[in-house]
Amino acid sequence: MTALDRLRLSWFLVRLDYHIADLPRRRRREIRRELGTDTRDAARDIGVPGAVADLGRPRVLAEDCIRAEGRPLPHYTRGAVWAAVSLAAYMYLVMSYSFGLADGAIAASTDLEGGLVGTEVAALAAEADSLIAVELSYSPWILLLPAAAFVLAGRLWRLLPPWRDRPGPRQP
Amino acid sequence: MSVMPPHDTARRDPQLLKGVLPLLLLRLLAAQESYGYELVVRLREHGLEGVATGTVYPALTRLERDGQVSSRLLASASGPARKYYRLTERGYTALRQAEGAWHSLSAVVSALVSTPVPTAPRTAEEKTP
Repeated sequence: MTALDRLRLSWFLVRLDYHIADLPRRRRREIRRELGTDTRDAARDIGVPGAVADLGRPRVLAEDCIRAEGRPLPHYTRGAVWAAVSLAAYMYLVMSYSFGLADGAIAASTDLEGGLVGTEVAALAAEADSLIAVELSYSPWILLLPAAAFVLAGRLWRLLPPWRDRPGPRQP
Repeated sequence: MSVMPPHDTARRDPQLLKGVLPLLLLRLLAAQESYGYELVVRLREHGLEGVATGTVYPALTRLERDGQVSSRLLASASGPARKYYRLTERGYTALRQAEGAWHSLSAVVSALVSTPVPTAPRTAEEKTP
């Protein structure tokens, strides 16, 4: 197997691994090992390009593998991405609000205070149309936003046992 | 009218194959313990050249999840250990049921598709009550 062939196979497995990221680590390792070993065998018969092409697209294979597990899985990666996006969007809003408040403080040559959900902003102005400081004080409650995004986008309730498997009310 | 040869893999519907793949895998594993790629090769040797390797692994995962096959790692002379699959007791039961279902279905389908195709379908008015 040439270096290019090894690279081609590794690249396929990396992409597959990305798409099965929601599976438990042990199961991911099993899938990678099995596919890697068997594809090397197939490559002896039909070459690496053919063997890799025969596996299909990594995303489709990953979806089939996840579906074959027979239970809905949380999307940790998607949850983490949406948590980061929601936090970044909130920070963007806070910064925009702060700049607006600072502009107002400079224009009025006076201190201004305001608040955006979970954050207190104070713009301290000097007398000569200049700004001394902008103070931001965050409430720990703002962490609920990325946490909620992580839970909702990551569908973490899938970690709970299905309703039908839960113990019912005790019979007398 | 052209007649499709029995082993024309180019025209074989992949969805049909996907539907019977678990039965075929169980049948092959009943004859011999095998690893994933070996099963693909054996399927192709039986005339299913169109079977894609990527469809076999999820099917094996399902069978293993349902307890119809078990697996073990065996050292290989040519590289890392391979994952071999073998039938379990539940797998033998499932195989018998699947074979029965297949024979029943194929008998009905064969009887239906072996009747000559009329040149034009009867209209609703021509239907016998």
